[in-house]
Amino acid sequence: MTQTTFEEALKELEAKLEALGTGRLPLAEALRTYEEGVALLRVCSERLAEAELRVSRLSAGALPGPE
Amino acid sequence: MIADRLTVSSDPQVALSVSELLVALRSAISRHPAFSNILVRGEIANVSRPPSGVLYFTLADASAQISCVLFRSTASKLRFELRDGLEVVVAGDVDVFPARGQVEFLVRSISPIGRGAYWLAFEQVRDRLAVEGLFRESRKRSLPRFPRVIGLVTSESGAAIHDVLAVLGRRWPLAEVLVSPCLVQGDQAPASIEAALDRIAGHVDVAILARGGGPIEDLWCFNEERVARAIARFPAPVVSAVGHETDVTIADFVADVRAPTPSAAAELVSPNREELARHVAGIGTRLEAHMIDHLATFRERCDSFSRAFRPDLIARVVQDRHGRLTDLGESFLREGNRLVALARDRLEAAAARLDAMGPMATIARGFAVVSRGDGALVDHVDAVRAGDSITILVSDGTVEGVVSGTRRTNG
Repeated sequence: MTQTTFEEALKELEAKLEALGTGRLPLAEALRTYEEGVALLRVCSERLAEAELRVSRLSAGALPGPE
Repeated sequence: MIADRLTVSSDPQVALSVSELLVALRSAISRHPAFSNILVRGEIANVSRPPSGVLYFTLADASAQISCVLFRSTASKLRFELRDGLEVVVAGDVDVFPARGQVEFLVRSISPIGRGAYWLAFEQVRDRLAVEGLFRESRKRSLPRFPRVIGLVTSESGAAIHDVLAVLGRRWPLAEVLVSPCLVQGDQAPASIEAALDRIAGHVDVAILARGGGPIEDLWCFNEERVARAIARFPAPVVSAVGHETDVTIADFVADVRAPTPSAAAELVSPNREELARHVAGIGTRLEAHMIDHLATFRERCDSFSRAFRPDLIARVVQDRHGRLTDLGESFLREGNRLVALARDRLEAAAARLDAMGPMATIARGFAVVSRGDGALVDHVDAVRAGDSITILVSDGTVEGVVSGTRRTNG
C-alpha cells in the first residue's frame, strides 16, 4: 500500500498535537505544525469514511497473490 | 480320531509331530466360537512398535497374559496412544502360531476402559502440547490495534462467515478480509483446517478460526494435534471461535485469544470506527484550541511589548546621557587648558634658566665666539694663520676680520 495507512496518519497526528501542546514552538513552526495536523486529520477522516469492506475468497488450494 | 491319537504311548510311530499338534490346535481354536470375535479386557504392557507398522503388546491381568497383535490398518485408525498400564478392552480372535508355538490375540479394535477413546486421545494430545509449552500465557500475542488484512478460516457455507463479515463491515470496513475456506467436521477436516491456515500465513495481520455450534463429535477436528500445531506456528495472532461458549477445544488453548462466538471474534480484532471518528474529531478540536492559545500568547507578547515601549522616556534618558557627556567634555577642556598653562609656565621658567646658562648669556657679558672661513670654531692658535678671514660673534651681531698674527700663551 503506497498511501498512508490510517494507523500511520493517526500516529503522526497525535505527535503533532503533542508538539503543539507544549506551547514552546516558535510562531512559524506552530503554524506549520497546525496545518500539517489538519491535513492528517483529513486523511484519517477519509479513511474512516470508507463504506465498503473488501473481501477476497481463496479457493481451496489457491495461494493469495502478491499484495 | 484325535482322542485316540492322543493316547500316551512310547511308540514314535503313533506320536504326533509338533507341527501336526500345533496345526490341529490352531484349527480347533479357529472353529470354536468361544475364541472368535470375542472381547477381552486387561492391562497393556510391553508395547512394541517395529517399523513394519504392526503393533505388539501384552494384555495381562494379575495371573495371566496373552500376546496381542494389532495390524497396520487397525493401528493407523487408533485415536489414542497405547501406553503401558492402560486398561483396555480388545475385540478380535485367538490364534495359534505354529512357528513360534505361541498363542496370540489378533486385535480388531481396542477401547480404553473408564473413558471414551476420544477423550483419552484429547487428554493425551492436551498433555503432550502442554508439556511443550504451547498453551503458555507468555506465548500469546496481542492483537494488532489497526489490522489492515484480516484472515478468516471457516466453512464457506456456515453462519460464521456471514456473522464475521457483517461485524467487520460495520466496525472496520477499511480493512481487507481474506477468506480461506475449509472443512469444519469429519475426517478430512483437520488436514483441511491446517492447509487453510498455512495458505494465508504471512498474508494477514490477524486470523479468525471460526466454526458455529454443534455436537462435540462434530467439533472434534479442533482437538486434533495437527490443527493445534498449525495454529501455534501461525505467524500472526489467531483468535479461535469454535462452537458455543461452553465448548472448549484444544484449538482454543493454543490460540492467542479465545472468543465465545464468531461475531465476538470479529469485534475483538477490529477497532470501533465510530469511536475512532470521535477520537479523531477530538484531536481536531484540541489542535485548534492549541493554535488559538498560541496566537493569543503571541498577541499578548506583542501587546505587552508595545505597552512597555515609551519613546518619551527613552528620549529623556538619551538627553540625560547627552547632557552628562557635554559636562564631561567641558570639564575635560578646562582641566586640559589648566594643565597646558601649567606646562607652559614651567617651560618658560626652564627656558630662562637655560638662557642664563647658555653661551648667549656669556656673550652678553662681553665674551665673543670666533669662527673661521669653513665655520669651525677658533679655539686654539693653530686653527688660523695670518691672513685667514675670521668671523667674530658678539652679543648684537658679527664682526668680520683678518688674522694679522697669532701668539701662544706660555704655561
